[in-house]
Amino acid sequence: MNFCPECGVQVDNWSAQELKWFYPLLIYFFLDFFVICIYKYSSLMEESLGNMLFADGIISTITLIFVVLYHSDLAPVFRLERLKIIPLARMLALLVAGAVAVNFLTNYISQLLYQEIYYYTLIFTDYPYPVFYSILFVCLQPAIFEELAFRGFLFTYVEKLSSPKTAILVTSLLFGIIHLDPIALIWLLPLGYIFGYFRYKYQSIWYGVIGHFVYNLVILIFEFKELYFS
Amino acid sequence: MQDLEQKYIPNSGATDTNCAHCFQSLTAADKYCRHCGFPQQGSNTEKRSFIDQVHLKKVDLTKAQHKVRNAAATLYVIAGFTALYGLIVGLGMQEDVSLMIGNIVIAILYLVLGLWSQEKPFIAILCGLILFITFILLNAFLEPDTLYKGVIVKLIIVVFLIKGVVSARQANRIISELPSEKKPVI
Repeated sequence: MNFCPECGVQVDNWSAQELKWFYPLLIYFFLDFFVICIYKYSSLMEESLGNMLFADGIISTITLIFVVLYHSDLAPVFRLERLKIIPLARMLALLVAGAVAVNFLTNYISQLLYQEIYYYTLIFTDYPYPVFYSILFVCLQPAIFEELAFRGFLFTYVEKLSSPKTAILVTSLLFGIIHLDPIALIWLLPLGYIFGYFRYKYQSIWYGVIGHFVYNLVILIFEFKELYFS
Repeated sequence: MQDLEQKYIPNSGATDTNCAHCFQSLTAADKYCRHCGFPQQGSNTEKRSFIDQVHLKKVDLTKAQHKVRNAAATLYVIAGFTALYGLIVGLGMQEDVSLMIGNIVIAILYLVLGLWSQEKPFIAILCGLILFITFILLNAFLEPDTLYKGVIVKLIIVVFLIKGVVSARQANRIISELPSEKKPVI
C-alpha cells in the first residue's frame, strides 16, 4: 500500500528520513580527508611521531563522535556472538594471501617507478619501541577506526538508503579514496569489498576489525623483515 | 483535457472495486486508491486536479531524467580526459609512469560509475562527485596552483554532477509517487 485509503496521503514516502542522515556522513568523509591532507601534504605539520599522534587523535575523535551519534543503529553489529571462527579463519587465510601478494606487487611497482621502496614504518625507527608504535599506528588504529567508520556508520546508512550490494560497493570505494593513493586503489577496492561482504553476511563489524588488523600486520612483518633482516 | 475527463471522470469501464486511474482493485469503502492515491469517491474537480498533478509530475520526471543522463555523460567525459591526461604525462615528455597508472585507475573508476549510474543514478553520480572533488582538493594540497588551472571547466563539471545528484533524488521521489512508473532506485 502506497496511499492512505481514507485521506489519500502517501504513507511509505521514499527513504527521505534516511537521506536526511546521509549528508552528515559526507561531512565525516571530508573532515577525515582534510586532516589526512594537512598531516601528509601541507607544510603545517612535519612528519613526526607527535604530529602523527595528533592527526590520528583528531580522526579517532571525529569517528567516535559519529559512532555516538549513530549508536542506536550500530549496536547490533558490535555483538561478539556474531563472530564465527570458521568464516573468520577463511577470511584471514584470504587476507594473508592477499597481503603477501600486495607486498610483492607494491615492492615491484616501487622499484619499477621510483627505483626505491617506501617503508611506512621508517618514521618510527628514530624513536624507542618502534615495533610498539608501528603496531599501534599501522595496525591497531586503522583497524579500529577505519572499520568503525566505513563498515560501521557509513555502511549502515548506505545500506538503509539503498541495498547491501550498494553499501558494499560504496564503502569500499570511499575506503579506497580516503587513502589518497590512486595506484593503491587496485588492492584497496577488493580489500574494502571483502570487509564489506563479511560485514553484510554476518552483520558484524568484528570481521573487518580483525581482518584489517591482520592484513596490516602481515604488511608490517614484511617491512620489518626487509628493514632489519635483509 | 476532454480525453482525460472521458477516461477518468465517468466510470469508463472501471468497476466499483477497481481504481479508475490505475485499475488496481479497491474495497468499496476506499475513498482514495491505495496504490496511486486517486480520489475514487472525490468530486470531478478533485479527480481532474489529481490527473493534472500526475501529468505535471511526469513532465518533471522527464526533465530530471534528462539531467541525470547529462551527469552520467559528464562521468564518461571525465573518464576520457583523465585517461588522456594520464597517457600524455606517461608516454609524453614527462614520462611519469606512476601518474599515468594512477590516472588510468581513476579513469576506469569514472567509467564504471558512469555505467552504474544507469542502474543506481543517485549513488553512482554522488560517488563520482566525491571522487572528483577529493582529487581536485588533493592536487590543490600537493600543488596549490592546480586549484586555479581549468577552474571554469572544473566548476562546470561540479555543477553538472550536483544537478545530476539532485535530479536523481527528485526522479526517485517522483517515481515513488507514480505507481505506473518503475520502483525508485538509488
